[in-house]
Amino acid sequence: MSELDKVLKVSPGLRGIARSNSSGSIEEFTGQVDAESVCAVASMCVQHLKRIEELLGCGELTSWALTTENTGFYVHHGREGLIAIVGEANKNPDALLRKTEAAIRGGR
Amino acid sequence: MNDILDVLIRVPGVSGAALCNQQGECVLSQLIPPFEPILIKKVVSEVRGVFQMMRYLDDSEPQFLVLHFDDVVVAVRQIEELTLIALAVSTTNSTMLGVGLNVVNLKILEHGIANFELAAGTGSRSGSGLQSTPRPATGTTSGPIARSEGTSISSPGISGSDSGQQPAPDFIGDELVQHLVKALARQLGPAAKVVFKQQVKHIGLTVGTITPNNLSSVVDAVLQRLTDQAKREAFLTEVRALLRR
Repeated sequence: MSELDKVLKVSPGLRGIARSNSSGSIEEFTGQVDAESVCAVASMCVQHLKRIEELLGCGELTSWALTTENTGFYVHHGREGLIAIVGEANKNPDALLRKTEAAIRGGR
Repeated sequence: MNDILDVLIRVPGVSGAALCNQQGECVLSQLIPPFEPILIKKVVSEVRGVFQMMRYLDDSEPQFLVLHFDDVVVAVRQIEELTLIALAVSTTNSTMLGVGLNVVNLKILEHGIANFELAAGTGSRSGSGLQSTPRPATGTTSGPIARSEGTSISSPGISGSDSGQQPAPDFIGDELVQHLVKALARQLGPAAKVVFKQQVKHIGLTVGTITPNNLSSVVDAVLQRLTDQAKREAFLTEVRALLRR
């Protein structure tokens, strides 16, 4: 089982996971995910999030989660790129973000 | 009315909260320096930029956004046109923070959203001093992401049936669509597929309804996203070559 598969098993609500490198190219993905689109949107969101990072001055962005009525979207940043996870909508995205973070760090 | 935020501010680790109207102005706030409504307004503007980007993937309404920085967590709850934002230390209990956001949401709905929208331009209010001082995060920083080998399921490509409907009888075909997206990707990079779908949608079509008759409109729409003249020319050259096949 790959490291990404292990992260996906953190919650039954997670559908797919993808990893892209620092240039935005997909390196690996698994599950039901349009990896290119998800990683592209995550990369596009980063420009806004980096501005928040600058505004707040409270350290670097490490991870973030966004939920809509239909979807949960979890992104973890690292020096080598990002990992994006897609799942069902979740009322407590922070909890799931922390769980996936722990799974990613545990897999290293 | 500022006391509506009390329940959130009292969650251990939460160091500030604000409610912003559609213009991003803080209509309620309990913040401690250096966090000020003018700063929160800018943050909310960027948050809305993120929400806008997410629409490329999912048209449904954004509800929650949580951002983890080295030293602070920013939690955002969208309440119709209002944006509720909380600043907390990284060790804050996420369940308690979620409950706090939910309770404030209920109180706002109980008071009536319009009451807060009307507060636009009345200026921010000062905090009640109930906040705790932000503390440095303890060990929540993410390091480099691990590498692993192996990939399983292949990526679903862009196709005429993406919208869930049958493609038009004279649909140009998935193969040509893929070629167009690849041509765009050579100019735009990995965002190409998302941008292509968005531009198709922008002109009232779905991928499956791209036909020889409206293909030029699609190409025109895509060109709107290529501001660099050289990239436009390169894309157009590839499109012409594809159509000559």
